[in-house]
Amino acid sequence: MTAWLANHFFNPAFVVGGVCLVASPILIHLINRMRYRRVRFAAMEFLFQSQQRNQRRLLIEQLLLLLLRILIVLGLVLLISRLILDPAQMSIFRGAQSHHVVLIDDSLSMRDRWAETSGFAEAVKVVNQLVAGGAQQPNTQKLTLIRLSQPDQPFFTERNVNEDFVTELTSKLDPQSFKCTHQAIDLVVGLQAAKKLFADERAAIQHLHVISDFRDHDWRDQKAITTVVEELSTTGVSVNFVRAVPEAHPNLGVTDLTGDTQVAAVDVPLRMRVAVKNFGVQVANDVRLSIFDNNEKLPASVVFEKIDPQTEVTHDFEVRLSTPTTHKLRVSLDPDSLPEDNTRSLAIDVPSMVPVMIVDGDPAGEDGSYIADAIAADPKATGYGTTVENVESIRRRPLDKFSCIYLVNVPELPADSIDALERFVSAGGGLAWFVGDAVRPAHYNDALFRNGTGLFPVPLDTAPKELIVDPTSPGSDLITTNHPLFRIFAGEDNALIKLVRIFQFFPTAKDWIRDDQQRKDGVRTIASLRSRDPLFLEHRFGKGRVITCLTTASPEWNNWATDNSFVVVQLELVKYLARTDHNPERRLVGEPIVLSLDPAEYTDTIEILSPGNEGDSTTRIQASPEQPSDGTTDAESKKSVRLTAVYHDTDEPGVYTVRLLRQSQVSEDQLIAYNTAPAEGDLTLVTTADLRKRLSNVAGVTIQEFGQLDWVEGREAGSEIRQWLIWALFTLMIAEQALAFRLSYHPPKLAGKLPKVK
Amino acid sequence: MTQTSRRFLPPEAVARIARLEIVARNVVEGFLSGLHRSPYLGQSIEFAQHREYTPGDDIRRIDWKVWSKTDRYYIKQYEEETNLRTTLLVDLSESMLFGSGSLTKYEYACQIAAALSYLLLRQQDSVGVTTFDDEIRSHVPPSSKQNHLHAILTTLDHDQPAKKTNLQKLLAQVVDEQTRRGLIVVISDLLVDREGLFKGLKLLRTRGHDVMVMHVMDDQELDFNYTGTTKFEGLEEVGDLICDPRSLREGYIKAVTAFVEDLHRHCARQMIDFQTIRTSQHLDAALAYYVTHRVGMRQSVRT
Repeated sequence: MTAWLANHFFNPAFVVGGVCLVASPILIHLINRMRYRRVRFAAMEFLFQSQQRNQRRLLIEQLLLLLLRILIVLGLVLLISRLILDPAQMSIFRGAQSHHVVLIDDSLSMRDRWAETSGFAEAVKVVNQLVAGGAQQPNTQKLTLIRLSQPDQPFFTERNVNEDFVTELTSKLDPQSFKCTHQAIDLVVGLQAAKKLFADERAAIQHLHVISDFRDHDWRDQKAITTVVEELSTTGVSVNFVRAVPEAHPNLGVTDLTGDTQVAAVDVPLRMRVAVKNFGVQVANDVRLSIFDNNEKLPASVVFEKIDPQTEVTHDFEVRLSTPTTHKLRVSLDPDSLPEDNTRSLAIDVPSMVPVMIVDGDPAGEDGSYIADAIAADPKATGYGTTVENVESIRRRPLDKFSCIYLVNVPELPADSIDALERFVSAGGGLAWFVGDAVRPAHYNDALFRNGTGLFPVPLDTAPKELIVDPTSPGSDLITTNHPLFRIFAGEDNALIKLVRIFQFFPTAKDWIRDDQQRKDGVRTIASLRSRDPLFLEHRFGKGRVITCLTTASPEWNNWATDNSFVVVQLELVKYLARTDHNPERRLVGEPIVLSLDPAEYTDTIEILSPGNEGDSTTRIQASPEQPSDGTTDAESKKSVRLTAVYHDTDEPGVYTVRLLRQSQVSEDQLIAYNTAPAEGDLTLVTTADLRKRLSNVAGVTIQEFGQLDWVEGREAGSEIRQWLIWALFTLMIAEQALAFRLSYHPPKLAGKLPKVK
Repeated sequence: MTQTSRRFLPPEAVARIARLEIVARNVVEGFLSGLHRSPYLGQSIEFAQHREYTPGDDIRRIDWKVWSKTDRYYIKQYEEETNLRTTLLVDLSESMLFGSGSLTKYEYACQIAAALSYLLLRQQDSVGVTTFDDEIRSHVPPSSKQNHLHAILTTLDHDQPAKKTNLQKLLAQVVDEQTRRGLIVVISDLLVDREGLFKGLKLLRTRGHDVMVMHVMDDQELDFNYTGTTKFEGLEEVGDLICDPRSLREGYIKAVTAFVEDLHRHCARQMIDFQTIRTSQHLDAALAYYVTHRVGMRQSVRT
């Protein structure tokens, strides 16, 4: 009962006394009935008549009047004791002992700045005030503080809220040490962590305070949040959403920075593409984007004259990197309300040349030379270094250093060469097939196609086939799809494609189904002949791509090699096939760096160079041998054991350098570019009405607007019912007065006048 | 003036009513010559009518002028004027003890009776008083002697209200005793059985009496201005009632008004003068209004 009173009344002490007061009208009525004066009266006959006639009406009127007076007293009592219908509105620190779990959102969007403050600073302020409010009733409340970025590691766990804790909190939540992350974090994870905490404890009253900016993108189609909140609510946890940001601020963000980095080479213009999005609701004009290479600003910059609201624009630009080393490329916008998403970094490993291996089945190497000439006629201009080799070199040379391999008119391949090639492609290398008269279809079908499991995509027919010349057909021999290789042929009535003539090709086996959709083997026909026979096919093998051309590279079966479009297509092909696994990785902030090293090659000492505002900082970590997996013998495990290390502190965006030390004491750097999640730049807030709509089925959820901290004290609790009570009291008093006036006697102005007697 | 006289007949009231006359509305049968018309034709200066002579009539009354014109014998008849014989019936029931002001209804009724007696005796009429409750408590026979007033006042002073009223029985008794037509004045609050009251009054009128009803009521009985929870203890053993009088006032006023209107209607039908008099009214004013009003209604009805 006491707990119920405490949960429903702001001043529960008044309730008991108030209930006694409710009886006062009844007591007054009874006392009046007991204390009467006596009058000896003659005309009792008329009195009895009146009483008999009005008995029922009088009883009802008197009871009604009594009821009205009781209700008035009750209303006053409820008003003074401050009734609160929804206990969730009650000051959180009133009532019985409670456990408060505060889930503070420290995702990137909380770094939103305005007027010398930020969303995270406001959130911390709320936590401080919350604890200060709780400390007014020391040691009756417990508080757990969870950061959304580390839901499994509470910052404080079930700490008694008192003055000492307030002092400790002030120092612990210092802005220098208690920082907001740059990550995009799902609120569900935090809610589930809180739910787990509450599940372990059943005794106390449980409050969950979620202090966040409540961005629209976080709540869009997020049924999971509603589900968790519903589960929490079902288990009796009161969920309190507290806004830390007042409104959405205009923001521009660099959402993407990409380029053909896989084919970057020294002094070769590298085509890059940058995307900038205007997340605000107003048009952004003259947006200037600066470009930095290894923290040195490049003279060129990108200018967007106008970016419409909620619109993403892209721009292509070229950079020329002049040193054969790793480059940290960064683009940056002028600071705005969320400067962290104004920068985007990219690490590029720039070699002197991009090595390409061309294996020609013809000892003369004529076919290969056409390709070599096409992609590296001037290596300094294209950046490709080609080597035309024979089949034997596949077995002899390490393939990993090549970006891609061309197999041109290769009659057949030894098994070990096939293995080497398969390993190369599986690891991410690119492979291009060009057939020719030397090709042996039987070998290709058996060893290379292998019923769809090999490097060759289709089974070949027994012999090449000529494309029948059709002088009546005005169309081109080649029919291409919308594929990057054939970008040059894009558009209707492209004259270039008509210049390409195909005379002969290797048809696929007759039982091979041409329809890609029907076949569903992952092989895609990207160009075909006018006879509908496939000419160019693409399929993936492991991580690598394989492009197959069923005609010759040389102008033996076609005239393409003599046409300019051949060069363009070959350059696109080598770019398309270039392996990307050698490029520095791109990740989102927060993802850990997981290293697995071969102890035969590397020592266990690892240095991580982290980016920061004040330059790179170095952290040294030790790799440790991973635990042997079950079922392996000691000898096997010793043989296969690897050194592993995990580095979690990757919150700062920028390029991280992982410096490994080889057993030869030579260091080896691996670069990883960490960027923020583009969606975090969208500062649009979800409206309270929308939030309520999403949580409409969930009881016990309150939403506190920004800056409203009355809920800590509960000052605003029950304001609605208070207004209602005041109006009800006003109405009751008027009704009581009206009824009392009606029931009471009011002598006429002409007192003593005789009753009307005819 | 004795103490009894001062109580029921205050000098200032006497001074104010001294000029009033009580005149019977109907003919009355008195013993003496007086102000009032007699049912009998006798020697008088007031010509009444001619009647054909029949043997036995006094030949002195033959109108010879008529004989000379018509050659028939007619005798002249003259109205006889006599004195008024008045009986005052004063209610002595317990209910008459009620009084919210300075006077109880009984005291006020006594004052009325005294004032009327004074007036009647002053104009040589005979007046008698009968007090009653459920039976006749005391009776002062009618007399026109000047010292008869003292006897009336003494009787009124001697009696004290105590019992219930039975007006029908009383009026029947009065009818039996009053063989000669006269004026009967009933002074009561009339809180009696309504049917019996009306029967009694009708009987009086049937016997040819001129009847005046002076309905004495207290202000509180008419206005019922009580407030606060009150226990009303009924006089004449009618029971008690605890109530909030304000809530019952409206119904009470309706009932009283209906009661008074009923009395008024019935008395009007029987040619009975009826007047409700508040005990708060000045006696002289009430009597002056009543007597003046009565003179205006005088009729020449001979039965």
